[in-house]
Amino acid sequence: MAAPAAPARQGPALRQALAGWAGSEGPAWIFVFKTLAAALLALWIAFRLGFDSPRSAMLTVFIVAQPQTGLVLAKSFWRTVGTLVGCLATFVLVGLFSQERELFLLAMSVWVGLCTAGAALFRNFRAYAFVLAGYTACLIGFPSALQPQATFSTAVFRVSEVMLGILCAGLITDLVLPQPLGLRLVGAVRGGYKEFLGFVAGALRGRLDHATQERSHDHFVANVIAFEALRDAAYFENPDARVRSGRMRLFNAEFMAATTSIHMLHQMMQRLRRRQCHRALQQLARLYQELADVLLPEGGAMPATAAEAAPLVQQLRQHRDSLPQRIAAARQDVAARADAEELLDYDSAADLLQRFAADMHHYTESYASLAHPGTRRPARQAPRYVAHADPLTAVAAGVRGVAALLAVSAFWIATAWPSGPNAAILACVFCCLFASAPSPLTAMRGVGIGFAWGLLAAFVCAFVVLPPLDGFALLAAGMAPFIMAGVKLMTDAKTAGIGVGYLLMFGNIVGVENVTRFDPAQVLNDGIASLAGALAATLAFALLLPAESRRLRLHMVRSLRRRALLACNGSLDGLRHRFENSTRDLLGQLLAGADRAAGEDRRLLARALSVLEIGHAIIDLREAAAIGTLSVGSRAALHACVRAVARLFQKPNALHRAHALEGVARAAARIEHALGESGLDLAERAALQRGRVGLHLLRTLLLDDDTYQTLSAVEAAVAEETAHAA
Amino acid sequence: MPREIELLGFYMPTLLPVFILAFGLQWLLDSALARRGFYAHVWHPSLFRFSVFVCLFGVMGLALYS
Repeated sequence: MAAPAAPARQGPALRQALAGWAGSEGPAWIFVFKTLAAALLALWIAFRLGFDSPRSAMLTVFIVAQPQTGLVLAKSFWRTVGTLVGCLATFVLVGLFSQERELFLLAMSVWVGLCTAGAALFRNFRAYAFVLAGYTACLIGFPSALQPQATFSTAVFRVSEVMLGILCAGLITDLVLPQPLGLRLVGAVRGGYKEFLGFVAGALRGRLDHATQERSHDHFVANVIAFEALRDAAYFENPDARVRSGRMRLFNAEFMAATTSIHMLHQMMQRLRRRQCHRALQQLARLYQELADVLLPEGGAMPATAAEAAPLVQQLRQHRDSLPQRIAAARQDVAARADAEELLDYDSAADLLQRFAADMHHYTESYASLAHPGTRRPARQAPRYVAHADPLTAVAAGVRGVAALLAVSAFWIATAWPSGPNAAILACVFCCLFASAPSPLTAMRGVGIGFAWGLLAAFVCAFVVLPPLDGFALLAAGMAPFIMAGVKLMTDAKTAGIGVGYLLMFGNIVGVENVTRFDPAQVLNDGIASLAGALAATLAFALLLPAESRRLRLHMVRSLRRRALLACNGSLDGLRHRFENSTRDLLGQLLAGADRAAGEDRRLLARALSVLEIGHAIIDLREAAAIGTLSVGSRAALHACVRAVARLFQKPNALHRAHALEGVARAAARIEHALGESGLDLAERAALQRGRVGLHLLRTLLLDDDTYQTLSAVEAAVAEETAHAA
Repeated sequence: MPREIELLGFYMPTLLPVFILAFGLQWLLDSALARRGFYAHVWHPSLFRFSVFVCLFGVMGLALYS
């Protein structure tokens, strides 16, 4: 009786094991086979159409391939644009300089430098356009410089090959076992909303400690950036996502606003607790509890989908509208028993609470509107995502591109090296490809290892496996295992650099051409040239303003503080979002390379959040200064205060801090005076109240030694470093 | 229709602009269908989209070469 039972038990176990494997390893293998199919398809079509160099088509597939499916189409679009621009640029360069090789190479380096700088400046999918513009220019430019009369036909062939690679990769990814981004986007929206709602309810009820809140903020910053990348990618893939694109931008922007206001609220409460303002705290805790009960009743369920969030929007609107009355009622209680300072604190906290309730209402409204793309659109403009583009980083990348290409070209001219173009092309590809990587040297190390293995594999494949084989089917079968090994390496983030290097080297020198040549010496020459190109790029990354260097990092950390200057000086139109968004984007870039073990991420986060707090206070103040009925003297006092704070952010020192505090005190007196005057309408009064609260917040923050130290810490570090150097 | 056209001094097959035109048409059609929620009823949306494109391009190409 026991014997037949055993296989029955084994059956489900086996099936379970298989299901587990399909869940963990399945997607990676699907990617491997899809990339292989795309590469071979591109190669086959290129052979059938008799293209000059079929391997370019295959190489393009390798460069476009991405383990995260769905991103291929987004990249393809920008690649196409980049290819065409690069092609046009080459025509111009060849037309102008083809008689003088030194001039031509110089012009080419400058073009590649521009493309590299562009790739560093735009870190999303547009970066690919720049990579490709540089790559195509080299791919077409060097052969045509040697034979200017063949420029046009070379260009047509190269562009066709690159386009063929792009098309094959895009089609195979989209048609065969697609793993749509749309689903991931929906998951990200729902997960993000639920997570934030849970966080807010916990924070308002006072159940989260400071460390948990900090960790959550770290996570939210990453979410904002990841969500924007996903939205951008899904735009090209999924018409559903395209229809909702504007709403999703709004959703993300309002998420940012809500995270900042809950943080400001939290900081305010911390300060009140430190100063032991029990009266105000007690009343505020009650107001928080009320808001938390509206958002997520005890034991109640969170809205699982956008459609289910619709009733919550109504409740939030009612709550937000009734909030001023409750605040005023509670204020009487505080006013009866507390001093003026505490009352002002209460006003500030209550204002922040109101702002947070409004943000939460907006956020929920834009979430609910995602369910019905046709109707019920929130009557707000969806702001663009504002990435922080650091000019110094971009210039450094551009200089690296120019230097690497010039070095290779100089060597090429000096030694009349036949494989020179090969080295130049690869130097350009790597300078562009890793222009915005957080640690390009690590990536280049992986590429170097991959190159060595790729050279070996190409040698074995070209001189042991391929010679006895005849026809495309056998060629494909012979190359498939080698390609699959490389693609499998790409699926793991840790070995992705090795995989890319391996595939580029293998595809480049395995030498699948229309006319087969059997020339080991040439293969070795090409291989060494590729290595030399990668080496030039590595040297450029290591020697010229290395991205990992402390100095560049300090510059970025300092520019995080200088984001506050945007709040001081930027034009007021849409400023709040621009300031918020670019600060968060910069913070995300910094966090990507932060040393988490040493607690650097927490310091960065604290600094960014203080900058956000101060920036919002400054914007409030500037909005108050912009109202029509303010007297000239008051307006001048407010502007002087903003200027004093700006000077402090430019160069924090004790004198500037004292001046800023003085300016704040003077502006506060003016605002109190202006509030006492009659003839203000409701909106103006509200703006002045905001400005008053903002001033109070500014004063608290400027007086707070912790905040001041967080903001000026980098200056101390720089001073220390220069002292060491001297 | 001529099978080759001249643009700014370059000769190119007429199929190339036709390809781009078909791509644009497909993009418009795609957005219109998505707005009406049509893709909820389609088993394999990307295959459907690709097929629509092939049909458009095929019809226009055949018209060109008839």
